[in-house]
Amino acid sequence: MVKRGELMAEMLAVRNLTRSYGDKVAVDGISFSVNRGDIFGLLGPNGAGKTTAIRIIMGILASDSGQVSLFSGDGPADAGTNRIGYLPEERGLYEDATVIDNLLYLAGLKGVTRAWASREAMEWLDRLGLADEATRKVDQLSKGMQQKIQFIASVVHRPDLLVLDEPFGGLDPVNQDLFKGVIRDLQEQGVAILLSAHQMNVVEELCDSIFMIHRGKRVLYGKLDDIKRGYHESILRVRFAPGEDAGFLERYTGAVVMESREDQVTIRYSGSREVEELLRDISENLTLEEISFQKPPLHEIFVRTVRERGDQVEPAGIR
Amino acid sequence: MSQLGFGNVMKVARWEFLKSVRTPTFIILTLIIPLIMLVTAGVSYLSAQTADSESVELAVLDHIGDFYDELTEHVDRQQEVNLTIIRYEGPQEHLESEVTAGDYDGFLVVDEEAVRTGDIPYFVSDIRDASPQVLSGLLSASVTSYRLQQIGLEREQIDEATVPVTVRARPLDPDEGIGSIIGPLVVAMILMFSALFSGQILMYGVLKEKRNRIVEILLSSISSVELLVGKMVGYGALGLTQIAVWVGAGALVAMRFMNLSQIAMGPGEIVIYCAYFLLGYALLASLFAAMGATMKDAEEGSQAQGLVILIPIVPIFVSGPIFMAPEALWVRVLSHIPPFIPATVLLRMASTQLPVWEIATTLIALITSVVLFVYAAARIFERGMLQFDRNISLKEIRRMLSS
Repeated sequence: MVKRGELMAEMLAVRNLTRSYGDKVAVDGISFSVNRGDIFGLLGPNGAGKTTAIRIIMGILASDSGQVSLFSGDGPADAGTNRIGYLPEERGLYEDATVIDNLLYLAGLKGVTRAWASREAMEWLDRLGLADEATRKVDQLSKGMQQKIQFIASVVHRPDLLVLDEPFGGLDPVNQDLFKGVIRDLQEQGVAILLSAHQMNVVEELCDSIFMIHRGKRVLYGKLDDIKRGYHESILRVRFAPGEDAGFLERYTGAVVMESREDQVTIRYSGSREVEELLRDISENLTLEEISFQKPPLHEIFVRTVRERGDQVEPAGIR
Repeated sequence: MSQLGFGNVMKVARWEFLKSVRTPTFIILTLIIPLIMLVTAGVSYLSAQTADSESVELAVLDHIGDFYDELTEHVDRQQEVNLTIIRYEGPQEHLESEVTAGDYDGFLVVDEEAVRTGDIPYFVSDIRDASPQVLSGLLSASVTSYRLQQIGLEREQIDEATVPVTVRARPLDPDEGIGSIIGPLVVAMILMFSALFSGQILMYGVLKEKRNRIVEILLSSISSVELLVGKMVGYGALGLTQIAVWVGAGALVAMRFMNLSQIAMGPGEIVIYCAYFLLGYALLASLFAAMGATMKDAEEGSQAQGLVILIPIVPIFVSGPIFMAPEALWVRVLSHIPPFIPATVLLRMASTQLPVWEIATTLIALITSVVLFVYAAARIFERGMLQFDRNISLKEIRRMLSS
């Protein structure tokens, strides 16, 4: 477990990062930082610039301008990439080699000894239910098993900063939950986690802070709670006794009916009346069976923010 | 360009070597060449043994009467062919039947006309068994001797006049034996085969890493230059292992069937050949690796690869003219053009003594080009390896090199 004071240690800082491919600006002056013990979401639709930004952070690509600082004030920065774990979106393993050979080789490239890596690898394999597969060749394993091995390869050297690019892609719900649990455990151990994804609903469950990117530019950045709190709209969902009239809700300034049924109405609300006042009106006029008043999901905030800026969002780009 | 750390290079090299040395392709190719050597040498040896033990029995129909004695004398003197001649006294028709029946391998008909014109009929039952070139020397000497006898010369005079003439080339430098030709030729062939084979495995390895997407994980831990050089070292070691097996097997075969002192090389020569091999391999390997990084899949690889293979072996295609005129200006120029240097120089070394200054200039040219090729390959490798789903165009390669 990490001590409270250590949590503020900055593990990654990105300043004004820019990278173009010909005329196309893939990453346009983005800046953010990730602290020890954070789960930081880098979110955006496909092609938004997430992978380019991550490749620059990992030193795989060079930036046109800007700066990436690693482990500032937290241990040797020159150990750089050896303290980072990376699970890229485009990932693979040596299919004609055994699971354990793959893990030992990749851990060896991170500077850990063979004996140490062997012990860690077996612990992880055991934890993810793959201990019996250690000496099997990778091409004999299912896709799901291979994804677990790839994940182990990214953490087997005990990184301080873990970069996961689309870690849930192709995973079934059971394994998604398994990965989420492991990620939370790593967070508790003080690992800073940079999580890139386009499945915003999944990431919303995990992240403390987010950076939303669209066409290379920042859309939103900050603590997830702050972003939601600062968003001026809420979603009001009311279920009531069938046949009652909920039409009065439409007359409120700032209310837009999203869905209306015989016993249920969903409203997007951005009016200025206090929530308590609104709830009082509802309870006086309807026989309530269920009511929820919450901030919209991230993907909706993202889409609306982008549209407000006059940009287009590709429908298939986000989920 | 990214940094180069020895430790990481060796980790990659070790992994690539151990991974490839156990593959069936490597094992089969490494063992099949010695097997071919053994079979070829064994078959040649056995054929020679069998040929030695075979005897040829010819009948001679001597219409002159005393030519047979002259021929017998020459047959007794020669040692190359196990030949027996027998005078036949009966009619030619009977002799033809006996040859057909296999009692003789063939027969000669000698008369005054044949001795005068030098056209001696030689009959065999199957024309494919006839080897008149074996007999022609023998008969030529016998007929000449017989003619001189007819002129009236004494036996001693005839022997003096007909002492055979042989031309035997002798090197001015006693070290310049057949080994000085075989050595560089063998090294040139080994260089080509091994470098091409190792280069091919390297290219397919690069393509495989692109296809299965592991390359991005690797590049997050080590630099592209470390990955490239590590691969080159690993596959270079693979090539050397292969050469060690081939040379070891070749030496064993040679010890059994050849005089090894003929192909013995001095330490200086070995160092020079090794330098050309290693530098030549590095040149080819960087070409192959860069090519692998620019291609999407192995199918594309096999087409483009054919072209790259052709470039360094161009000197082999013109080995005849290089042998004939190793000091010609165009050959000297070819010896300094990067992809052709190793093969051209080794071929030249097989046919002439290269001056030290030329060995030095070709090695400098080779080292310089290796550095430039590896640098260029690293740039292409760095940028091409992450282009997973497409081939890199020549225009893009030019941009990669110039940016």
